[in-house]
Amino acid sequence: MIQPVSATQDNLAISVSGSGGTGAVTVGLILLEAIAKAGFYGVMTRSFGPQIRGGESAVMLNLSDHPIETLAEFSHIHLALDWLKFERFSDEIPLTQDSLVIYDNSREKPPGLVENSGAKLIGIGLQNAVKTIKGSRMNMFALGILTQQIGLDLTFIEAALKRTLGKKGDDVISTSLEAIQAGMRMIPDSHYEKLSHWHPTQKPRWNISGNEACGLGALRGGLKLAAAYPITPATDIVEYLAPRIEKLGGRVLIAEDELAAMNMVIGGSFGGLPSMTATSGPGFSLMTEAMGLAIASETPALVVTVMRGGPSTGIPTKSEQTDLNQVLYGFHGEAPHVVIAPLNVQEMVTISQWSLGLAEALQTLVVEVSDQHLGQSRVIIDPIPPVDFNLKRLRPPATTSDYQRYELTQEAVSPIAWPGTPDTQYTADGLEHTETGKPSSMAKEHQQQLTKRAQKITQHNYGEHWAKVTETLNATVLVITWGSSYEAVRIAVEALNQQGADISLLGLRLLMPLQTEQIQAVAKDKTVIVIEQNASGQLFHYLLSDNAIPRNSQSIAEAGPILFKPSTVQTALIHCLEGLK
Amino acid sequence: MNAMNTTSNAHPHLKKTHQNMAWVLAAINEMIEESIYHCETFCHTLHTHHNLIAAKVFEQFCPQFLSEQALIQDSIKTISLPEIPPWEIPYHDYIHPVNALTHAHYLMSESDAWKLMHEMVQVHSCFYSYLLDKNQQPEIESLLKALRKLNMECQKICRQHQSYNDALPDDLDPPISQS
Amino acid sequence: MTHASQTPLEKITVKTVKPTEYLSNVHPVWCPGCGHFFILRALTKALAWLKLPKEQIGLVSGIGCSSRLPAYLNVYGFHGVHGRALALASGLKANRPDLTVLVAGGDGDGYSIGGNHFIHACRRNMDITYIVMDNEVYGMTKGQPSPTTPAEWQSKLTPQGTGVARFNPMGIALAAGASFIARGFSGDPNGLTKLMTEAIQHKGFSLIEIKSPCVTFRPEEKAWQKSMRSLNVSPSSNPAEAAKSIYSSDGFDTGIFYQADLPVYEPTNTPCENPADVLAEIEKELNV
Repeated sequence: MIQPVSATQDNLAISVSGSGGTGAVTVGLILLEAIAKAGFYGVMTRSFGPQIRGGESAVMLNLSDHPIETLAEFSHIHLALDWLKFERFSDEIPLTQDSLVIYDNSREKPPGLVENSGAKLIGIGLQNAVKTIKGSRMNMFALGILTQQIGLDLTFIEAALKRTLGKKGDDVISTSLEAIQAGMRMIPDSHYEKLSHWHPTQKPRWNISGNEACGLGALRGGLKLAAAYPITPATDIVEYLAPRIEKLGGRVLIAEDELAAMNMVIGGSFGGLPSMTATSGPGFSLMTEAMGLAIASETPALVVTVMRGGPSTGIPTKSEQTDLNQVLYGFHGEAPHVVIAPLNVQEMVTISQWSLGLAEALQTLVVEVSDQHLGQSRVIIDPIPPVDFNLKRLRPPATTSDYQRYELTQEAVSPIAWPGTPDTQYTADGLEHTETGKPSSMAKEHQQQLTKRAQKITQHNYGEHWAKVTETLNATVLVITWGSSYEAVRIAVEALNQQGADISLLGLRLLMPLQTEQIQAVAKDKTVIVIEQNASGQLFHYLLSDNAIPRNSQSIAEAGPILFKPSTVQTALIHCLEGLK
Repeated sequence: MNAMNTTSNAHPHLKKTHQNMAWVLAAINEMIEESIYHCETFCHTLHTHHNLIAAKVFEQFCPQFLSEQALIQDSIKTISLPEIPPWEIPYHDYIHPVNALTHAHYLMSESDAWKLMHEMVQVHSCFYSYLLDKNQQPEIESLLKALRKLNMECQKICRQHQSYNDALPDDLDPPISQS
Repeated sequence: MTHASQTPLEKITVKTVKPTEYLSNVHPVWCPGCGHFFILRALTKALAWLKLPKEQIGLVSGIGCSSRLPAYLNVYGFHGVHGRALALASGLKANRPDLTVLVAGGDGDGYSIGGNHFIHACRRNMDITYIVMDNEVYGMTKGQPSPTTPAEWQSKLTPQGTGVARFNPMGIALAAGASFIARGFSGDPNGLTKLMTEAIQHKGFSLIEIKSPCVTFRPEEKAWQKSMRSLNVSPSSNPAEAAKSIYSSDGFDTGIFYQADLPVYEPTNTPCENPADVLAEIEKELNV
């Protein structure tokens, strides 16, 4: 499912920052698209101040001639449209003595942290340049400077410009192009002309964000209703769906709160059509009661949660893998359900489609766990071919007499009737019930039904998708990780293996039901290290509690919102391995 | 019995087609159906609330209503009954037979149950009297007289049983006392 | 609207659908005397009168005595969580506009824990009928005051009374944008059947606020029988006039207070003939 990428690939990291309205983000979007058109790959992340509009913003691009999703170790080139509140981005835009910093010297001086980094600084008169071309914007000069610095052909920039700003009209395009060309002449020497050494591909590729990929996967799975309440950083999913789902015979329903959103999903799904919601930690908290209803009433429902820093309002715009306990244990009663986490943006389309299919086929709640980093990263990837999981609702036979909605069956999945069908009326219930759906508080019926609800999930054959296992011959160590940590960990492990280490890697997608025996088989005779982006080691403790990993396993758990980079993982792993000796 | 107030204006759904045989039959049938349905429903809930004595009264009395209905069924043979809008009331002071049932109680005594039955039977009786008063058609008149005769017997049964001197049993586990 | 009452008797239609056909084999376990019994009967009579096929009805409820209703009917039912029935029903109606969607619940379920959903269901004005069985008390948890309980009513939880003014469901519904607002009384089965028939036929969000005595925890409510007036209100399509009649009523008037032709929210529901082609078109947007 996932294309492996080389651990030692060459990359080019570019960042752009500026206060509100300077257009730093637009520079990033055009540059990413142009790089893609030139035959390369890349990932772009963003960071914003707390202001709704007009705040400081930054984009970070990591480019390569191979698929890439990790954050850069440091910025090769940083372009500052101004220095207002630049300190906010110091974590996300690391500068070293190998960095080149280009800035507008007609305004603020570079802050101390930039000067102290040892980066090479070039100040230029961007503000004055704008005055030379009527109607031009400073960010287009900046784009020109970057184009020249990395040796990118102008034709790609022009094509990307048309796609990104095309709606603004020909005048804007021609003025922008003029400014870009003027920008290219401002610093004629190219300091990071890496592109000429890279091998461009002619293959078709996609420019997609993780949240868009999630929406697309759901559409492929036949989604017909998305009900949601706005929340950062999940809203993009619903915004992606809104204009598209209608063309596919579906609809978006805006809820008054998350309690309503989850109940709308259940109602829509009871109506017979695949339904989902998208939310983040605080919204998930509000939805948990109704999620229990989906489980008890055996109503298919997909909930995508895009994790952010917590608890409470926490850090809405930044990433942390901190809600694992919530998605596993946030319910009252015995509440067996399915929890799935894609490992990168590339697999988000297919894993989302799979998640929706599982909800339909198993008639239960499926929680798909993403996070701010996966969701809001924009990447260039190879197109994702369609898959048919053949996961559908089991319907009663055409002529059914004595229909029992919660009938005990071999597979523990009972046929679910389509409202509108004569003779199969039933009442779905959150109260414990008999096979017919009649409320019951009897021990026998409770045990039968809770066993049924658990069995249908544990008995299902999840196939190869439960995890991404990369085994190394004679490995003595197994690293287990999940979600957005996967890419950085994978590159770190590959790098260590090239230096002579023998480490196997397990990226766990199916978090519930936990495939304990399969994990035990992979972990056999190995020392296990669990890596995750949260302070308390939630995955580590989960795996330990189920005896999926041995008692002497190690935990590398780091709070967000500064995300793992391959180098930080590598350092932590070396430290951990040395401690084991 | 406490009648629900109607305004001084005519009831918006007052029916005045009592000269029509089919309508008369349908209206009576509708009333009896209501009584039977609620008799059976309350019999069941009294059972559920472990008041078997009162439940038995409802159970025992149901056949009486069924025999009233049987008389109607005999007359229906040659007539197609019209579908009466379920909100129509047959005459201005009509009281729905279920009005009495608001006074049912899970600990009601046997004589209380008979008293409620009696009130329901009286609703039937009032309707028959009203129709007899308004109607001169011979075939309707003979049916109504037959119905009233049966109804009188029912009233007699109810009266006999109400004479029981069975006080309401104490509720030893009452719901928490509220104002 | 056509009533058979206006049809000459010569054009006789024979009763083909019986109210009992809408009942399931589960018997109600409400307290003997409870007003909800008569509401259930009125509902089945309205459904039979409208000849709605059982399988075309979706009945959604929350939690409480009244919310047990779906189990007693032989329709597609959903007995969900406390207070969220209207939200669940909105999702159902969005995906299945072909179904007749009914919601049933009590005063606590709808006006307290479900208050926000009540407001927004009114505002959305989807074609849903909301049947509230208002007994001014929490019966299932054994006698606590609800939003419609009078301020002076004393209970174990509120020994001095609630001290809080009552919620005005019909006033709120009008302000929030419901397009059909009526009050009914469980002790007036005929009038109630009429209101239910009208509400189900009305295109838009219909609230029927039904006074239904709780004979166990509010036995004094049996006296409502003396005070309620059968269908004495005539509907207005003017919100200002409706507000006047809602606010000037002593709470014992029944009938339709407000019925207006307001925009009904109907999410897009155009079936897709060629999903594979449309998906391919959508995916094309992603191409570099």
